[in-house]
Amino acid sequence: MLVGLSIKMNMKTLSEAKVGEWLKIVGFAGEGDGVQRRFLELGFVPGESVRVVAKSLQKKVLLVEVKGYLLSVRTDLLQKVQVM
Amino acid sequence: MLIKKKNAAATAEIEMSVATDVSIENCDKKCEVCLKNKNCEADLRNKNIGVVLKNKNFANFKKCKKIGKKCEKNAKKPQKIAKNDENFLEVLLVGNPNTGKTTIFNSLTCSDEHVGNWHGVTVENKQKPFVFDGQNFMLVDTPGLYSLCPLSFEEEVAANTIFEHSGCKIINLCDQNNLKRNLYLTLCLLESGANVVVAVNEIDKEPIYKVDCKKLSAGLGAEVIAIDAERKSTLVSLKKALCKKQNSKGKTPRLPYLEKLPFDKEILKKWLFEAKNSKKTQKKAHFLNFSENFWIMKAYEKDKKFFENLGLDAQILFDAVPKDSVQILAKVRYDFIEKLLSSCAQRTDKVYGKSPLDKIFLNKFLAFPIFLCVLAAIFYLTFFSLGGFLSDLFSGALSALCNPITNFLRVHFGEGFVTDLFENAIFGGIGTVLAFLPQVVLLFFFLSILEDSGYLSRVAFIFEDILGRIGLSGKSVYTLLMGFGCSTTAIMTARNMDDRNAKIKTAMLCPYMSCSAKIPIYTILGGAFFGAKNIFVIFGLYFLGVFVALCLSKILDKSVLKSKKQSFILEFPPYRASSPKRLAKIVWKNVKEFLLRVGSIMICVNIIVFLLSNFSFSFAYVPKSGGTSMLQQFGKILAPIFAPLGFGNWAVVSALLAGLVAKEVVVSSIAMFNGVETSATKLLAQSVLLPTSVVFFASKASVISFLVFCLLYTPCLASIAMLRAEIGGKWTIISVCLQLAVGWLSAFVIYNICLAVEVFGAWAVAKVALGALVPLLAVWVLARKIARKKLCQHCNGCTRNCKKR
Repeated sequence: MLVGLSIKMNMKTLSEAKVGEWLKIVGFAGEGDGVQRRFLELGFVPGESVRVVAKSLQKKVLLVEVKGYLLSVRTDLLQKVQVM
Repeated sequence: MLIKKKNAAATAEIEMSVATDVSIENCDKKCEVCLKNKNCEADLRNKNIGVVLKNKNFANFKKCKKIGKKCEKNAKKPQKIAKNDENFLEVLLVGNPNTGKTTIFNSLTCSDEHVGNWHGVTVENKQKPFVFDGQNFMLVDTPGLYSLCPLSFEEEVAANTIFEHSGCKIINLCDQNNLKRNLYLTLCLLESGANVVVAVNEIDKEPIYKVDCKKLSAGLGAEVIAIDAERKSTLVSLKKALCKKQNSKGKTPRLPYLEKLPFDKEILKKWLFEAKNSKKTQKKAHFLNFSENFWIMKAYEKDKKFFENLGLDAQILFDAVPKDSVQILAKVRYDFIEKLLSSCAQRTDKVYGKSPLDKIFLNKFLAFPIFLCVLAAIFYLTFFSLGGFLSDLFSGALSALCNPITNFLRVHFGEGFVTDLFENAIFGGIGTVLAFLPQVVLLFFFLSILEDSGYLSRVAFIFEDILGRIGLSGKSVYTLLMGFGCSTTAIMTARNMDDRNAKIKTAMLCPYMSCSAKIPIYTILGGAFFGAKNIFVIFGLYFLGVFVALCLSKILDKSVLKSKKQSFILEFPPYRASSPKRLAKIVWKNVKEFLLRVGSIMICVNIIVFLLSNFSFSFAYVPKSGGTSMLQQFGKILAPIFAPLGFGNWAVVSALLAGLVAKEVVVSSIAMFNGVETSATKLLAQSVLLPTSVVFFASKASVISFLVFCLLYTPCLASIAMLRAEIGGKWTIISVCLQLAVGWLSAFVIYNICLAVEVFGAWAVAKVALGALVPLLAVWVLARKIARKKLCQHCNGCTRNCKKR
């Protein structure tokens, strides 16, 4: 119980990440759908290290580095990606 | 040369095989016919092949083309590809977006399809034959895709092509710099039991991954070849591999990770047996030829859409896999790739697509000004400095060429119909448009450089915030920017939007982007009235087009075309400079297209307009016999509609009407009506100012309103046809009506403002406008605040910065 709680405390979504901070992907929130599958196909697999490289003006899109390439993704989609 | 000859032989063979079975009963056959014919048609432009076709039985070719068109109507949307004839071996070109598939396609088949540094340039299948070692191949270029579970329209096209051609050879193109993610698709293909040749595309000299192809080949259990579109020797080795695979049965893929994925094979066997016997699948029997692994993977991927399309219930399969099967599968695949690459590739620290330039281009404060400067520079160079200079040179050369011919005609035919036809319709009309060849080509040239550079992805990134607010996506930037070149081709690229509504919206907004065909109108009319100040008029018009498009998007988003939250996922390609060879190709291609357009549509329309404007309803030649011409009478009926816009003149209205076919015709018609005889744009500009000429604009206000109407009304027939194909008849009608209405209204408003400025002076009008704007703005802000207070459910009456929102 306690362990679970501590993990939850540390857990955040990729949309909240700061620029330049390396994070590890833990899992995905919500039901598995097409978007989640696409994330996995693009390399957002659990255990993978990712980081946000840049943010757009209103922070609605983030530039994410994953598997050695860059991808710009909308923040509302990144809310589903749980990281640590 | 040898290859070209062989190509020619191949095309002739298609044509022969087509000619043998031209019957109308079997529609599937016909579709194959028509698709092949499309190739013939395209190849016809390549002279070497065209000659063979012409020499052989050209009549048959025409006959097939007719039937081909018929079945094109019968056939449903998904593009069918000609099935394996005995002569042809089909090869699919498959890979992630922006890996250079079309570049390879172009060099393999000696063709000239559109390429660019952006994902989603190719949105439909393209196929062409090539010959190697006595074997005829039919190469099919597919749109890019990430895996066999498609999300967007063009991915679906690619995935369905792969499914429907399960026995075909597949060239899986992988970008050397982004190998990890590219190999993911390779694994998907190998699992499905496809016949894959992996081609590692060596675009850069200093790649991020240095791959040992032999080791990779051993690791994957599939043929791996390094290729480079520039080096012919690598292409030959690819072709050899295609031949070799056909002889030996090929290696079996080694995918040890599949054992880690538990699945009860009994369930699958039972399910497959039922599926094979069910009536629903009989039409789609080719699907059931896939390996067992393919079905297990599909169950693991939980690809519900795939099974729905097949008409099968796969709940049993979904129940048989673990709960988070999608994650497990992706993890296992990527782990395999990581392991594989660590043994057979050296990796540098570089990140694909990352560049120090991004610090400037994505900077909060610099991003927008830089983008605007880039656009302004492009238009300035096209319209004024470089473009203007080239256009003047070209125009001079043209009139020097035309004059002797008109003199010759005058001497031999005297004054009369024939001389008039050549002087007015051909030299005057076509010549004026032709004089703009340098400018139009220049604009396409700059847009292509922009497209190749990779900067557009950055622009999409910057604009996502703003465009998201008005219901578009950053991806629309590409489509809209291409709209500055040609609306018709731009509309097609709207396909790479993920959301149907966003696709319709983007396609509908394309025509408001001022296309290259409008350059002559702005330059001639604007130049005549405003001289050096024309630069402001032209920039104003471009700005107005964009502004109207954005406003419309917001309105459409609020009313009929609400877009769901878009899945905005966009790759960042690296910056690339176009090679000199490619630049030369771009120029040549656009020159060719422009000349073809002028030589075909423009001449036809011009002659029709000439005949209509010079013959009365009793078929008397007006300049000789007097009376009113057909066009004049017709124009007079429509003229009152345009009277409030300041140009209620039959000739102007007729020019606009003819401009519906193609925008260049507006200028050529005006030249014809005003009796401009040679391709001198300056003469035409002067004639518009003369009160005695047929097309005459009384004031600057009426010219501006005319320009605005030209900017906003329906661009051309081709774009309407394209809209119909892409977004359906209903939306096309709405779109065309909207264009006319918006064009008329905007021209009306601007005409009246301009009139007011002319009468009362600019300062007075500005004062009145300011006086009206301030209270309106105040009311709007108040109304918004009240509405927000009511809406916020998280807290009672919060401000705009409420964090809970």
